[in-house]
Amino acid sequence: MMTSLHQTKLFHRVRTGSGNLGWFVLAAILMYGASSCTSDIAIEPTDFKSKLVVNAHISPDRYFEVEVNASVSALSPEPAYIPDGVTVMITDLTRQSVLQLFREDSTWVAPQSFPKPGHEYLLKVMAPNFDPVMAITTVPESLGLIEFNLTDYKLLPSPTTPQKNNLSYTVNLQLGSKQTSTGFLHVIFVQESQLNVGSVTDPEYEDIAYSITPEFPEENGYVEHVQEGVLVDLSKLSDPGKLAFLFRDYTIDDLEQIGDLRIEIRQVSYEYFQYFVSLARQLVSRQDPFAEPISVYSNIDSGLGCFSSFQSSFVVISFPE
Amino acid sequence: MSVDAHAQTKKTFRVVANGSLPQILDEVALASGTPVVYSAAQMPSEARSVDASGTVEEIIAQVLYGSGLTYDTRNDGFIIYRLKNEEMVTLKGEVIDSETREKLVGAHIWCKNTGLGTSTDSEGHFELTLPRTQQEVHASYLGYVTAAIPVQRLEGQSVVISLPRSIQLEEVVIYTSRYLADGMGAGDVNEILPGNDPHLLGVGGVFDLQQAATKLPGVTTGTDGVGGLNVRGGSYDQNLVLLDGTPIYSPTHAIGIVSVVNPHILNKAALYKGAYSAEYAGRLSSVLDVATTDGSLEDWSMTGSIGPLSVDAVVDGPIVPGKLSVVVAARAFLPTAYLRTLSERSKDENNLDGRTSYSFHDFSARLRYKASSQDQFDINIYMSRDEYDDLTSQLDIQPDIRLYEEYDKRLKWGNLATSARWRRQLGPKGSTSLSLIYSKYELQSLDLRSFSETTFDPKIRLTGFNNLEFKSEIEDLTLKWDYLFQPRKDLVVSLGAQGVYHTLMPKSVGFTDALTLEQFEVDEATLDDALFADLAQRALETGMYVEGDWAITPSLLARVGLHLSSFTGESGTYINPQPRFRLTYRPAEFVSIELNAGTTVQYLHLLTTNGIGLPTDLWVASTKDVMPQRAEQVSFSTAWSLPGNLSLGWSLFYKKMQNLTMFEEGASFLLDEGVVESSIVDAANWENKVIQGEGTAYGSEWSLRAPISKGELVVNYTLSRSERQFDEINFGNPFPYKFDRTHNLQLSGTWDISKVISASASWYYGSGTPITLTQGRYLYQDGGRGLLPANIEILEFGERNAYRLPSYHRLDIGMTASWERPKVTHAVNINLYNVYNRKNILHVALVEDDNANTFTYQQYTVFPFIPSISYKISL
Repeated sequence: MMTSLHQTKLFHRVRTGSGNLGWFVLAAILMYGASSCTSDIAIEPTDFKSKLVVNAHISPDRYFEVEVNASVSALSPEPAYIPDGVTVMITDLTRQSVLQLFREDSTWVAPQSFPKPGHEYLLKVMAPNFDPVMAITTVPESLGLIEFNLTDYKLLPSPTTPQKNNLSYTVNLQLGSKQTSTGFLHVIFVQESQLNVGSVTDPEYEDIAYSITPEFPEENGYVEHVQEGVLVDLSKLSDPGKLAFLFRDYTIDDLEQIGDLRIEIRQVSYEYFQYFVSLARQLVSRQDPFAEPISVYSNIDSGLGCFSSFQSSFVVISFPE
Repeated sequence: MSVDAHAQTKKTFRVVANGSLPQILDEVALASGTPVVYSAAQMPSEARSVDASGTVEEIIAQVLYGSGLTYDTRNDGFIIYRLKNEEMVTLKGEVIDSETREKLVGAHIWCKNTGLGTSTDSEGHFELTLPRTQQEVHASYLGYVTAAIPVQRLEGQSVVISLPRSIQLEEVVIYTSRYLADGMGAGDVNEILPGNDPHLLGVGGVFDLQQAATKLPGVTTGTDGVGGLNVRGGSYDQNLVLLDGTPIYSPTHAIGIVSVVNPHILNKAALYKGAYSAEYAGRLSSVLDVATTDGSLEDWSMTGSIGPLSVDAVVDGPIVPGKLSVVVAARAFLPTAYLRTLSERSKDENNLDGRTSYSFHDFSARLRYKASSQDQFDINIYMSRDEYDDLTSQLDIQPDIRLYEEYDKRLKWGNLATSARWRRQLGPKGSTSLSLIYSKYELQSLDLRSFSETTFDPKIRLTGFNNLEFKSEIEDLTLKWDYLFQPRKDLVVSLGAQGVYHTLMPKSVGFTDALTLEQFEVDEATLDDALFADLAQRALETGMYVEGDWAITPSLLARVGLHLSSFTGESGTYINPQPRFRLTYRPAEFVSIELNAGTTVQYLHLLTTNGIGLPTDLWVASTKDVMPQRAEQVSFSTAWSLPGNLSLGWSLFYKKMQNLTMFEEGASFLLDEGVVESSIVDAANWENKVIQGEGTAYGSEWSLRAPISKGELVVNYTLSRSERQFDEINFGNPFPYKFDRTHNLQLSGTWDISKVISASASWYYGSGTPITLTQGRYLYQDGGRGLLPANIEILEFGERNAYRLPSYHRLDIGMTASWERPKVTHAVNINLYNVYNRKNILHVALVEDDNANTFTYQQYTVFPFIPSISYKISL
């Protein structure tokens, strides 16, 4: 995936926050009199026990992969590791069939077609010297009919910068009747584009695609995913079937030709949503030294990590000429 | 004018007169046949009324009452003259009912020999200037025993004169301020007085209200004061801080270490920890009622001091003697330049340019106009400001690219509080006051990043900037009326009403940004204020109260009150009755037992991600979905005055809090390199990002004061527990509150080494604060599917606040030399803070050493051993 300049700019919108100013004030005060000092403190976590960590987010149209590692003490100089002798079993509780996964590099895999929509799966992982762990997830059905349109489309020359245009539009999605089967979505936006890598007189276009992150209405149901897209809790929206995503003042230059906008709409399980929301929030809270720490959700019985599932639907939006 | 002066015997007269003082004196001389000599130039011009009886000397004393004049007898005649200032001494204090501890409004303080006297104001305070030669003053109030008090016991300190009702035939007890009758430091009220009480000195050996309050029983704070006041398990936003009746939303400078109240204008402060009077409302856990000095109507004075943290000055005196006084005070943070130099050096060591600067200042002015003996007008203005600025730039030149980046982070916050108040004395048994108050707290921040990137081949220059600005404001306009009267000898009734119009700007985040090629265009346009105005939250909070103090028997007193409050916001109205009850029993003169119970409601919430009281915290109002906070508290306390001036206090309390409000996990408005955009909170979406839960606090407080050889020993100890419970946190299980300290102890001793030099030593101990410990680490590998960056390291935490940090303790030693010269008083204080350099922990973080690939817990310490010297001069 190629990173374009305007993509960088778009992400700055997210990543340049108010900047822990309170903390900076504190640091400034502490500097006074050279009174701020740090030193090591001997704290030994008393009840730490290494656990199996399992991560698998399964979908009918994806490879079935399971990651397994073992947690280590906070003070351990060793990184988390893949324990020896791991056995991974998956049971389709709906069909009452069992399959043992085989290891491929650092993951355990199953045939791509294994997960079926609406089926319930039990994942069990065992390793010597660890408590066996297990978890259950039910693969969501695919979403019903999705209607979509593009509104508020504007492509205007930048008022401040020559050779620049500001692109704004709103993507509206109307979900079908099955949208309430889990109540959680993960929506990913990928912008296709052609970028002139030659010269103005001798253009040479290269196809690229990159993730973009929208703004959205001020409703509580929207949470940005850690890496790409938006997690949506439909129950917190005023109209659970109707979603809107705003792209405003998205700057493109004359050397770029915008292509289609591809939208992947994943109907995700409860575990998927909770796991990625809490993971994102932990990563945020770790930037503020005084913030209360946030535990990452886990549905792994006796272990850590997440066993979840999703089902994807796709929408492609073409921009007006 | 009419004078009815007639001799009943040779020695006794009665005078009923209206007119100027010379006219009255002339008539007294005429009627009694006794010469009276005076200087017309010294005579006040205003008319007065006199109804006096007694001997001619007693009548003259009463005629001269309150005039600033005195007399001598010469050859059977009287010489009237005005006293010279240097011969005078000013006494200050208050008069209270020894049973109910109510302030007595309109009590008389007078000197029999000179006729000089005054009355207590609507707050029960008095100030009386007397010839230094006088031995005795009297305090009297209708229905109470008249007290004769030696002047030497009053001079130089603010005193409390406790008068028993006349039917009790008890002795008058004079409490110096530190022995205030109200629970003697162990009940629901603690009084803090300024000055050089060595038990209360803070960082740098300087008195500071905030730091003094943290030393009281039942009050906890974070390390070295960071974290504000947490009263009886409450959080710091649950304290109503009133500065001369005006609410202050950000009561501290810096990060909670320094109070915004200049210590030299502090008259007194009372911390109500429990079921406080029905007059107060709006906060859950406590009221810190701060009264500043009135300003002398007689003499000008000036006080200045310089210490390690600040320099300040106060000017106080009459603009129109006897009528109009003014107090002006200013203070500024001292080591700004030093801090800047230090930061420049620090950045330079990290190959960065730039500097960090921090400063604060505050200013206050108070005008007092004494329109008559019954009417007084006050105008108060208070401003405080903190400013922080961090500028960092970095130039990175590589063979093919040149990159210049500049970061400018600015933060300003401050309070503005103004009030106009009219007080009227309604005879000896009543008073009323009317106040118009405006207060505002505002925070502004600007975060600017600009960069310039130049590639050499091909030669392209790319420049750009991001500019982020936000504001947070809360603005109150208040109209308040209070009325106090005594319908019967055994009953005092107070009632009043107030309305507060709140305008809150929870927070707004706005961007301007641009990216340009070839041409660097920096448009530092800040957002239009109109953008913020559209997001304001407005609400009307009203309250009415009535409260009665009833002496059921001479030893059994009850206070019953009700505060009825309402809160009308954009999404509806809340109405909450808040009953308050207090029963006081004094089975003997030396002991009191008290039971308190009450309900408090708080309509405003402070949202914070860290809970240590940073200025970027966010005030919001209750809405339909965010319910008002509510608390019920009961407390029991007893105070003993034992032989040998030993005083002992003990309290038990239990408090249940509901609808405590906090951000849901992960929501933040303090993002620096944030990942989750939706976690940024602004005015439009904060309501959806908060959760509400419960809190419980209970404990026991002990206080002991004992005289020792040439000094005094103070012991304050609190054993308490404070917990929180939110369904969404810690799997719904209760967890310790961030500032829960099981044990909190202060041992303090003072010694008067000589008339000039005194010494003090204080040792503090507190149980370690609870933290959530990082127990383990594991990976999200992501197997190359692109969902996440590969190998994200996830931290595994233990239960919320289940780990206790090492205990807090430190020893402070101080020595003060104070001496007087004609018209000047000097004081020098040498202070050794944290003598044995205890590394008390502010914060613990799990830190990775990239080189050794090891992890360690690292502790951050605030104040190590700090020697300091401060100087104070009073003119």
